Amino acid sequence: MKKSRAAFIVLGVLLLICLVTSSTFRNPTNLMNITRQASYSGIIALGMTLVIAGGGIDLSSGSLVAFCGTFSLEAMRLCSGLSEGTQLVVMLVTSLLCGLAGGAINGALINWGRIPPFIATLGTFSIFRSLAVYQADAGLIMVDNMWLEKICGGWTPVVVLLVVAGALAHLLRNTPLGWRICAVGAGERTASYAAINVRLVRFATYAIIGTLCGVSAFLLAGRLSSISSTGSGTNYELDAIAAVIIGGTPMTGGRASVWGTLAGVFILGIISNILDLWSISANLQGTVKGLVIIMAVLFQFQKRRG
Amino acid sequence: MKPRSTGTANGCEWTSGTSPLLTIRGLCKSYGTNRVLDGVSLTVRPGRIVGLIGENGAGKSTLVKCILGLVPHDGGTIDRRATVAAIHQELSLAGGLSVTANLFLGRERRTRLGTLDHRTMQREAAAIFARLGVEIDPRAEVESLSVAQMQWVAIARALSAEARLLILDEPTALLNRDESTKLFTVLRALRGRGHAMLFISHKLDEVAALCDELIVLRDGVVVSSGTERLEPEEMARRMVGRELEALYPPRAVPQAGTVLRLEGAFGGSFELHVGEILGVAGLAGQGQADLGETLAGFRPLRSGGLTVQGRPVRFRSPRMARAAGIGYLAADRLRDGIWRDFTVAEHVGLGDLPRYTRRGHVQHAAIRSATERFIDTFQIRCRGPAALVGELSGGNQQKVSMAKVLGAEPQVVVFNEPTQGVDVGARQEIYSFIARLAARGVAVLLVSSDMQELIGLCRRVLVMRAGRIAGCVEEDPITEESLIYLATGVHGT
Repeated sequence: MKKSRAAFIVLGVLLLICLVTSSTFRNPTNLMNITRQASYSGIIALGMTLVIAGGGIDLSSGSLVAFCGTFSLEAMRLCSGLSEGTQLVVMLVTSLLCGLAGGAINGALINWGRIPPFIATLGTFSIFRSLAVYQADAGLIMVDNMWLEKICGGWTPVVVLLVVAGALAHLLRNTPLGWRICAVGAGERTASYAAINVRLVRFATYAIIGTLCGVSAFLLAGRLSSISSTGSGTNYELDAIAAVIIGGTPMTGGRASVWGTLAGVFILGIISNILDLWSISANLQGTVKGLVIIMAVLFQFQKRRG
Repeated sequence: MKPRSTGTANGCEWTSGTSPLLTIRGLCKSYGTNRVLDGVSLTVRPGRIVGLIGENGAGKSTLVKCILGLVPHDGGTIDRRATVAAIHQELSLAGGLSVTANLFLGRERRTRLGTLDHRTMQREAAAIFARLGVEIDPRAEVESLSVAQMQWVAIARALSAEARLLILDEPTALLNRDESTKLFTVLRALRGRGHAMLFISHKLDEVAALCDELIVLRDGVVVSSGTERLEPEEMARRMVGRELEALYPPRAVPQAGTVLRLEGAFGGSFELHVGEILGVAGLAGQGQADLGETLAGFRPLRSGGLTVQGRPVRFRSPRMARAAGIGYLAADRLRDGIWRDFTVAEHVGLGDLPRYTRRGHVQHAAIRSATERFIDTFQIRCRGPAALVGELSGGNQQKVSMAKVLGAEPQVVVFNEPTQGVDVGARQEIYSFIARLAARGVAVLLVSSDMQELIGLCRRVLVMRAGRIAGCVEEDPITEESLIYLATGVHGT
C-alpha cells in the first residue's frame, strides 16, 4: 500500500498543474475524453496487476483485444437477420468468450505446458493478432448497431473501469484467490508446500485478464463501431504494464496495488492529453511516458532503501 | 566495492612464522541504531583452527563480512596479513561453468597469445584435487556435482588463490557424516601446512573436535575466547548466556492406536502411532526426504499402500494430504517455508485459508486473533501480527513456518530437518514444541540428518539406505552406532 501512495501523490500534483495551467483541460468534455481514452487499456492494466502479482506477465493482451473485437463483430454480422438487441448480446458474449479462451490458452501454455510466461505470451501475441488480421483481411470490420454505440458511449468505459478496479481490489484483499495469487507470486515453492494449487491460481489470473480483454474489445468496438484488425489494441499490453509499474506493484510479484494501477492509468492518460494541449509534438509523447516509468521505478527504489 | 562472496581479499604477501594472519581490534559495526558488533578483538595465527560460535544474530556473519571487506566497519582496525577466502553455507559458484573455470574465475591463466590456457588450468586444477585427495573431474559442470563436491570446489578455489586464511561458514550443514569426516581430515592437513581457519558452526561437537581455539560471540561482544577445551554443553551455555535447561524434553510416549500405516513402499512398511515421534535417519540423499514428501502428497506413491486413520488413501496433491490431516514442514525454510515479504498474519492465514473464509471472504479479524494466539504459543519474537517475516531471525522464521503448518491442526506432521541452521536456544524451543505436539496426540515423522536430535526425541527411528527402509531401530536408548550400522549397511552387503 505504501508504494502506491507515490502514484497517488504524482497523480494529484499532475492533476493540479493541469487544472491550473489549462482551461481546456478543465472542460468536462475533455476530462471525459481523457478518462474514457485511458479506460480501454486501463481495464487490461487492472488484470495485468493480478497477473504480475502472481509472478507472471502477459504480452498478448493488445493482440487479444483485436482478436476479440474482430471475431465478435464477425459474429454480430453473421446474425444480421436478428434484432439489434440480440446482435448486441451475441457480440458481447462472443467477445467475452474469445477473451476467456485466449486467456485460458495462455494460462494452459504457462501452467501445464511449462513455458515461461514471457515466451508463451510473446507467441500468442503474434498468433492472436495474425488470426484477427487474417479474418479481416488486414482491414477494418464495421458494424452499424445503434444499441452498441449507445451502451458503449459516454461515461460507460470509465464506469466499467472503476467497477472492475473495485472488484479486483476486493478480490485481492478479501478472497482466498486473491491471497493465493500473491502467495504464488511471492514464492512459488513455499506456496506449493502450503498446499496451494499453484497452477490453478496462476491459470485464474490469465483467465481474468483474457476476459477483461474481451470487455475492453467490446467497449472499443462500441465506441468506434468498428475494429481495426491491424491497429486496434496495439501497445495496450505495454501501456498496461507501464501503469502497473507506475502504480507501485513490483514486477517480481507477490504484492499488488489495484488502486495504484488505476492511478498509473490516469497518470498516463493525463500526460498524453496535456502534452496535446500544450501543443508538444505527439511524437515526443513516448519520451515523456518513458521518463515517467523510469522515474516511478527510481522513486520507488529509493523509498525502499531509505 | 566489488561484490565478492566466495571472493578473496588480497592482503600483503607471504608472512612466515607465527605472526598473526589476522588481527582485529575493537571492531564496531552498526546497522542504523542496531549495534551488531561492539568492540570485537581477535587474532588468528597460522596453523590454527579458530572456532567462532554464537546464536543467530550474535554478529558472526557481520564479522565475516567486515573481515572480507564486504561491508565497511564503523570503528576499530582489521589487519589482514594474508589472502582471505570465505566458503559459505550457500556456495556461490557459477553453476553453468566447469569446475576448472570456477577455480580460476577472475584469475584465468592465459597463453602467450592472450587466449585462455585451458590445458594449464586443467592440470593445476587436477593437482589441487589430488592434493585434497578428492576425485572430481575438472571438466565437469558444477551444476552436475553433489553439494559435498561443490564444497570441495569452493575449498580448491580458495587454495588455488593461495588463500592462507579460510573462513568456513557452516561447511558441514549439508554434508553427511562421512563427508564431514573427510572435510575435517583435509582441514587438519591444511592446518599442518600453515593455513589458518575460522570455523563457524552450530554443530558444537564438531567445533569441540576440530578447533584449537574458540571464540564465543554474544550480542556483538566476545564473551569468551582462548584455547581452553570446552564441552559442547558449556559452549552452548556461554552462547546463550544463561543456564540452558536440558536440550531435549522427555521423550514422547506413543499411545495405543495407529494413525498412519505405509505398506510395501520404499522397500518396507511401518506404522505411526498416536502421539509418537518416529525418526527417519540415513546418510544424505538416501530417500528420507522422498519418504516425507510422499506422505505429504508431493510425490505419488509408486508402490504399496498408505492408510490414514484406517482409511486407504492415494494422494495426488499436497492438498489431498492436507485434507487427510497430514501437515508438512519443508527443510529449506527460506525457499519453501516462508514468504519473506509477507507478514506473520498472512502466513497464518495462508496456512489454512478455508478455516478463515466465510462465504467466500477472508476474515481478517479472525486471522489477526489467531495470529496473536500463535505468537503466544510459539513464542515468536516479533512486533506483532503485522511484522514482516523476512525481518525475523532464523529461529523465529522457523516458528512462523511451523505456525503456518500447524494452524490447520493436522493429525500427522512431517518435519523435514526442522532445526537446520537454527541456533541452540531456538532449537530447544522447537524440540519442546514438537514434544508438546506429540503429547497432544499428534503423530510426528521427524526426518533429520542430526542423529543426536533423533536419539534425543525418538523411541523408534527408521533408517533409510538407497531409497529403501533398511530397518527400524527400537532399542532403549538408541545408539548412534546402531543407526550408522543400518545406514551404511556394512554388515549385510
